[in-house]
Amino acid sequence: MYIIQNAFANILRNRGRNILLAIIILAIITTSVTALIINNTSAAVIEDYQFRFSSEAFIQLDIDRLTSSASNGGSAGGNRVFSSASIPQMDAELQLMLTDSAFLKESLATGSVRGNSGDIRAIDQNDEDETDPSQPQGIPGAGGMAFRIGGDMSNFQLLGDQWESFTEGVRSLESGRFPETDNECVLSVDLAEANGVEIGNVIHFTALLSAGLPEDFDVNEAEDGDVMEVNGIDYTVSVLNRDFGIAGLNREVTYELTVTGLYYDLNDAYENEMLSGYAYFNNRNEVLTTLGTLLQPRQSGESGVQVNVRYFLADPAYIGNFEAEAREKGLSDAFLVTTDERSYNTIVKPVVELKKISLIFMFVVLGLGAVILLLLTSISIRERKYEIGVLRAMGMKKSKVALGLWCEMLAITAVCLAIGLGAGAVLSQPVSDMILVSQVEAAQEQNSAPGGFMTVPGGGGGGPVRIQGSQMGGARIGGGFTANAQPLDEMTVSLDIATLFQIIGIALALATAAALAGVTKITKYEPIKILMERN
Amino acid sequence: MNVLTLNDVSYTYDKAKKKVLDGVNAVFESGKVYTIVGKSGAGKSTLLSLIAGLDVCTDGEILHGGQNLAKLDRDEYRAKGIGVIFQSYNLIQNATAAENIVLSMNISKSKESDKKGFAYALLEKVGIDRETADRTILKLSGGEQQRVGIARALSGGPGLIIADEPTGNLDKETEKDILNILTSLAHTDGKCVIIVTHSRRVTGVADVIYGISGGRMTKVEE
Repeated sequence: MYIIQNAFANILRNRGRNILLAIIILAIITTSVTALIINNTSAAVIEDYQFRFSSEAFIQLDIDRLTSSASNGGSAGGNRVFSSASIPQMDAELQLMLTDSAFLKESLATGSVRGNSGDIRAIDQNDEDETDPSQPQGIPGAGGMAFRIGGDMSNFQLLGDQWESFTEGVRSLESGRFPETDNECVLSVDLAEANGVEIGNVIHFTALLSAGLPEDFDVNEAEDGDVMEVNGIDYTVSVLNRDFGIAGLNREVTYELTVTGLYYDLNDAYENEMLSGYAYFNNRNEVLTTLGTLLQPRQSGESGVQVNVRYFLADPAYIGNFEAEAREKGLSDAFLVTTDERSYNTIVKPVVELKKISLIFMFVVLGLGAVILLLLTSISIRERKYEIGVLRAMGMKKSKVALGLWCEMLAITAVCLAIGLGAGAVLSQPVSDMILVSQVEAAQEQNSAPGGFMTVPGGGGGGPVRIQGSQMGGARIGGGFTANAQPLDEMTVSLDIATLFQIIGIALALATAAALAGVTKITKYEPIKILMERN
Repeated sequence: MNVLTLNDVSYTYDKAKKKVLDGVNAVFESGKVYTIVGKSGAGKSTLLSLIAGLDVCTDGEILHGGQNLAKLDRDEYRAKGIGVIFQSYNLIQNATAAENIVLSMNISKSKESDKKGFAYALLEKVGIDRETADRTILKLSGGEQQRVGIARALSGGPGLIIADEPTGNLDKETEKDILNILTSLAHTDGKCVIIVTHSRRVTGVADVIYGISGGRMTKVEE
């Protein structure tokens, strides 16, 4: 006990020397705290993103393969646009079949259909632009790709199992209940009030489903409005562009939905001001139902119902197994099964760099600081050689002299630790922001190439071939890559328990190393030698 | 009572290979003041270091209370068995006089419950008042520092006190006071006091005088 008391007394007795030591230790600890906080927060962010990006499996069109085959078979001159026939499609059946995979932790299947209704009017509905159900809406088999704003226009979106807005709190059920079975729906309060709809009412919505063109289909012989039977179902022929050979086969289906609830929507009516006034893009016109409802009238191979399935692997390591299963169930080689490494790299790269910088900085400071500290301690102990000689002559054992020195160093370090933790915690955020900004700028420079579209030279020396990255055919596959992934430019750093213990460990090691450096030096001498040298 | 016995004690410095002490024999008893005199380099301080347990003799044996010092825990011996008064005081410079005493008591594992009170009393006994006792050593005169040195030597309650030129740096008046304290320790408190000196005034208070010359020690006067 007296060793500790004496150590504290010694700190005050040798305050000038100890202040100098404390300044060095404080600088090391503050820097280490700052670096470690940044490093550990970065590590957590990276790990989180790594898990998120590697745990979600994407089934993505192999763009390289597609463009390669397009280039080889490209026509001379002009832009080449892919028709539904030339873009490989992954049908909704396969997408949904894969949701049963044993390698998945969970899957999230949603869908949407463009529709109209003769029973109710959409908010901002323009009668002049109202879609004639007999008219085609865009490119068959290429759902969601070609909207002709102000022309052929659906007024409603029927959304299947898209309830995120409720869990996110931007929508809330005002009255009634959510659909519990198929053929039930909830409407926005605004839409219901505008049409006098009440819970329990039945509303009919119409939509167009499309079939793929038969191989023997000749667009030059077809006329708009012709009826063609495919797989026992009658479709209406729609010739969109005879020159390019673009045509479609459509049929109208009707959804009979019972209103079970009304929701209140905190979203802006239009997410994009440019689209303001077009009923289809008005959030209040969204009709929320089950995916099963949307898929009911759909026949195998038909497009028109956009299905989007997100696959979350039980373990990121299962990506290979999941791909093998998908291939076995019929997934074409035209698709890649992968995790979103590119987006991950785009988003996380600045943080990875930040982590590296903070770690290097910490090791440099620790290394240099430790050398300075050891030198300083060594000099300090040399000055205290006489004092230690006296203590030893009085009968104090070497171990107790060492313990005393260690206690002194620990006490100084503890004070520096308390101050350093506070200072480091305060400094870490601005330092992190500063480094991250420069890293984001660097990353953005690297990522300045176009993201959503991929441009390759067209065959025969013509114009570029343009392929839209994440959408195709009748289904949007697996969520696609985050085409507009932006580097993570904000990171809230904070001191956590793990970091705290690491800092304490570093401080303890520093104090011990510094004390040891002095002790090993001084205990080599016998007290008589120290005193004789002094005398 | 026999406190310390030197049996054929010899000491050779490693480097010089020269015998500084050569078969020294002596018996030191309690209640007496001994002085060891000799020229500079005769081996006085070496002998004192051996007796103080700061060094070990190369031949022979030193018995303290019948036990060979070489086989004792010398740290323990220095803390409890002997009190050493140095010519240059050897105190903790930036601690107070009282703190020096308390520290020494702590090292010797003194059972005293009020160590600080005991330290003040001890310092008062050697002529240091409370105000002076609370000053750091650096602020004390040579005489005061030597008194503190004496108090520290007594703090562990040893039966043997050795002093290396205790008055070497002091004026005559202070020297007289210090010698009075030392003789009082022997004659009143029954301690064995050994003083290494070449001062005639110091030898004047001795009960027994030893002389060292050529590495050998002989009794000069009793």
